[in-house]
Order: sequence, then C-alpha cells, then structure tokens
Amino acid sequence: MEEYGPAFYRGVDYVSSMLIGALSLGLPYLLIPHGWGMVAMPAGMALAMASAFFVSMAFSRLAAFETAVPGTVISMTVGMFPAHYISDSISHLILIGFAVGAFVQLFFHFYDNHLHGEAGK
Amino acid sequence: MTLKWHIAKWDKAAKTLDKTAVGVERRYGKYKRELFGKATGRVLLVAAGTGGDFSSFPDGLNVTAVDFSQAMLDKAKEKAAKYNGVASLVRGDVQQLGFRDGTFDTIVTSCTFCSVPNPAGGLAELRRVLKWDGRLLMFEHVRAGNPALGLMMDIMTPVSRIFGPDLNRKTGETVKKAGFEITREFNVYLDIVKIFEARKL
Repeated sequence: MEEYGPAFYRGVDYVSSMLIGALSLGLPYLLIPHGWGMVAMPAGMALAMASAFFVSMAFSRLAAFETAVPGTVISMTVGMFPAHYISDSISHLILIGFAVGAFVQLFFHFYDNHLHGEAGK
Repeated sequence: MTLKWHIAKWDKAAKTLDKTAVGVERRYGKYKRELFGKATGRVLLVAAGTGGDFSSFPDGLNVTAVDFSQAMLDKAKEKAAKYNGVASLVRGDVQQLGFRDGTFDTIVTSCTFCSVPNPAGGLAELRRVLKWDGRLLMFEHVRAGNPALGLMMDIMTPVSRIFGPDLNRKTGETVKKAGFEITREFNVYLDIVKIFEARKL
C-alpha cells in the first residue's frame, strides 16, 4: 500500500473540510424550505452530517480521523445554521462554507500540533 | 445487544473493511509498524479483522490472531499466509479466550477495544493469558479528553455502534482498572488516536 508524506495528507484534510463546509451550508439552503423555523435546525444538521459521511466515504482511501473529526464538527454546527440569513446567493454560501471548513481544519491542525506526541508526562 | 448481534455486525463489515480502512492504514501504518516492532516471543493479535495488521509485524514472530467473526478470519487467511513467520488464525472471543494462563509474551490490539462488547472483561482476560513480564501493545481510538469533542463522540456513538465501533470508549482508564500499568501513552491524532504500552501490575 502506497503511503504519502504528511503534506499530502494535510492537503486532503483541508480539501475534505472545505467540501464538507460548502455542502453543510449549501445543501440545507437548497433543500430545506425557509419557513420551517426551528425544525430546519435538526433537519439541516442531519443533511450536513449525511453529506459529511459521503465525503468521508469518497475520501476513504486517504481519509482517517483527521478528516472525520473536523468534518463532524463542521457538519453538526454549520448544518444547523439558517444559511438564508447570511446570503441568498448559493455561490456566496459555498465560498463561506469553504472558508469555514478551512478555518475549522486549521484549528484542529494547531490543536493536534499541541497534543501530538508523548502524553501523560 | 447480544454477542450474536455483534458477531453478525462484524461478519457484515468484513465485506467492506479492507476498502474503508485504506486511509487509516496509510496514515497510521508507520505508527503501527513502530509499535508492533516491539513485539517479541509468542504474540497474540486480538481482533485480527481481515488481517491487515500482519504486514505491520516484524518477520519471524509466532503470531496467534483471534477474532470472533468467521467472515473476518476467512478474509485474513491470505494475509496470514503471506506473513514471513508463523501465523495462525483462531476463532475466539477476547472475553473468553481458550488459552492457558500466561501463554503470551506480547499481546497486540489494533482498534480493538472500540468494539469489544465488554472491554473490562476483555482486558481482564488479556491480563490472564499474558505472561507476568509480558507486554500489552495497543493502537486504539478513544473518547476525546476535550469536553466538547467528548460530548460530540457521545452523541455519535449510538449511531456508529450500529455499523461499527463505539467512539467514546475510555480505554486508557479501563486498561488501568484491569490491572495494568501504562508505561507509555502516545497521541497519534489529538488525544483520540492513541498508542498504549502496558505491563501487568
């Protein structure tokens, strides 16, 4: 089995998080009626988590916890957000989703730098 | 959920495990090779799955691999045959192993205690079959120490358990409670993917 360098995997982590961010904001906006009120929150989260699952499956030959953990955080939180309050342009929402995904992955990148290595010392 | 239900779940998962675990093997392979390289003497590999971990062992060991899923063991046969050492596959439950006390010099687990139905019972059984000066080498994923991430894993676990592993196991604590001393703990990713090295107290 071919193994790649850490920079390659880091790139995969960012791409998957950005995709999940865009889908988590874009799909609920497109598929959930704006008049659903509070029901839209769990419905959006479920839709976003389903999209995160499919992205993880699509990346399964390269993905691991480094994509799954940020992907879950992004989909659980962003999916609940009423996207139509941010913008009525799907292209804007996708760009915002990309940015949120990249930011969350960046956070986990630094958090992992902090935790990685010998523990309990 | 009965043992039969767990076995049926992993029998079903055997069909796709090799495909869905490729990313995990690629990313964490170097950590597993380094950890499993410390195995010596007679080795017990617990929950062998489809045998993906045989390639992480150094040559020349005597490895007994157990799994309670016959479908997993059927898939593992080819990889066990390729191992450059002695490899035998045994159907068995980690909670009730058919080996005498103190049989093994090293026990290796690889993402095992996320799915053992009774982890405390399983670890007590491992302690029994490990020699008094033996080593327990574990590559596991566990519940995050961060409260928010830990809560997220608690929420996800009832769903993940239907198809595969639990996400919120506190394996380090269970290892200690089972009568082991953790001699090394290494965070591979966050404090979720971990290496534990332990010995009997």
